[in-house]
Amino acid sequence: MTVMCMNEIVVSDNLTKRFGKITAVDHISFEVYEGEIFGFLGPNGAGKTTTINMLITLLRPDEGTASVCGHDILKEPNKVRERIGVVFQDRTVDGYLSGWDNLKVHGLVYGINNDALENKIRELLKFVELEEWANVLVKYYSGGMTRRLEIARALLNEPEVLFLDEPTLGLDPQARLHIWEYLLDLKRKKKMTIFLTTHYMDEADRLCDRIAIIDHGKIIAMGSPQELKSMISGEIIYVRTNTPMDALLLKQHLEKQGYSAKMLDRDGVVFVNVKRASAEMPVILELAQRAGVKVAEVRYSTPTLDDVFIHLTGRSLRDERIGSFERIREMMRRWRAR
Amino acid sequence: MARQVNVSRHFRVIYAMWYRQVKRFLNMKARVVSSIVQPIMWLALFGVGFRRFATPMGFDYLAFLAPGVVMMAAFVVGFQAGASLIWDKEFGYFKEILVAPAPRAASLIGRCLGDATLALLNSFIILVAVYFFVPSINVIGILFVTAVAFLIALCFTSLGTLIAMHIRNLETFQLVMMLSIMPLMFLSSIFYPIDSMDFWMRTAAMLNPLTYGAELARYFLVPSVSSLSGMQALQYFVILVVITLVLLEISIFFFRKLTMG
Repeated sequence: MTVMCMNEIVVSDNLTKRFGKITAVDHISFEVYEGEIFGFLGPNGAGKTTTINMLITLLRPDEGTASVCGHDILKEPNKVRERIGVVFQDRTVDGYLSGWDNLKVHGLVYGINNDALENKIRELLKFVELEEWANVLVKYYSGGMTRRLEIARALLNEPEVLFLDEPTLGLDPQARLHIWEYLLDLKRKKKMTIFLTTHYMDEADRLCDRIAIIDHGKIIAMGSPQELKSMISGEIIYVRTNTPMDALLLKQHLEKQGYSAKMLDRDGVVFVNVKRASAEMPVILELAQRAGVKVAEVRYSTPTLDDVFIHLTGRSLRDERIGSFERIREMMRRWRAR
Repeated sequence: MARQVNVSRHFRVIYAMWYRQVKRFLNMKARVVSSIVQPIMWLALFGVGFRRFATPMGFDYLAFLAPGVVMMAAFVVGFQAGASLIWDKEFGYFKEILVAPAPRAASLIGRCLGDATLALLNSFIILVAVYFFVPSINVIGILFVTAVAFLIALCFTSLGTLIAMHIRNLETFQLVMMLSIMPLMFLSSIFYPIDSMDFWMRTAAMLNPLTYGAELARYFLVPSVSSLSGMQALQYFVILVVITLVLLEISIFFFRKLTMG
């Protein structure tokens, strides 16, 4: 094992937040170490944003506390605010200001003096490749460009920790890759400590040194992506049947034969954990045929973080669909933000 | 020393928010145009029409109305500026300001000063327009009127922002504005002299900062239609300053309270 200086930058101690009867964040404790990318992975509504909002001093916890860069979030919120950079989940830029002006206002509010500020803005706009767009109103920026501007803005005050809430939500694949590169670059070149939340398992896998899997306000597993994936030994076979009833039937038959099988809600998929998928697949198909279950699709893979989530909760991260109501709301917001 | 750093810190935040409010407004071309056109329309349509009717009774109504319209411009634009706070809350920019280590008071003062500056700019344009309608105005008085207009603007920006803090969506805010702008305008001496009002109306008007603004504007711009003495003018000015500062202070108090300052 390599020797590393393990300084704790974020320490969460039993953070808890309730909204009415719902406990959104339920006694969460964890540490983030200097220079690492730490991720909160979980479905929508798991409590990721609520946790971030408490850490960045926008929301007061009902129980527990946390410290960021050695300062308690409740006792010294301003000390915390000075040392962090934040990229929020929804866009928080001013569309009626240019990119340059958005950064300028932010810098002044953070107390950076004018001469230093101009150089810093120029440097950061270059970093996120928006120099040519500096004087264009932000309402004309694409989603990816806006995100990049927000990252540049969060870096203006030279934070010790960067917080990002779902940094690539709603971006197209190319823009996502772009954002990932910036974040990895920051870690490599500036040794930046990054705390991010995501519900994309590929994002967590690709970026994070350590991940906390969070569900219903609780951390249900924590470790490096490798450690988490090794919770499942062997390989995973997915069998898609036509109806949930078929899936249930197949699952029962598999369990009778000593297989470790799980069924995913709703979509009629059975998930089987086996040692060697290539050898077990024919056996399972035969079993299905004998049980009278019609198989629509079979595939197998080595375990992913999604499989870990399924293993732990019986649900898939991919299951999360945005409700149509929320989608319309999001569209309205975008339209009005113009 | 530490104290001094702190002061410059406050000024930087105030300047940042002022800059943001002003620049943002100037980037919204439609709003710039509509905010200028509206008061000019009042003056041109209402004032000119009314003059024909009032002049035979020995009263130059346009000269009476014009200073009031200057105040009206500062008032309407300032009061509605609270909408930008709601806009910010709805579209997330507010969070960006709240997560900054900036003193809450400074960011609110900067915001209000920015909006007040815009309102002032607006009433200044009207002031120029007034000159064409009422060439007899006292040009030296313009300087004083500008100061009064700024107070009215700041006063109502603070009030509008205070209201906006407690409202979640733009529709509700606009409704509140619609329901309060009319009575505030007509229960003041913008359109008719205080002496001509009933007792209850006069009482309401004397509680309305706009009355002090309109009376002072008249005193400085068109002394011939003003009933104020120099002493009264000074009194009115002091009252207006006090009301403005109190409203600003109340806004700061609630802003701190609502934002974990």
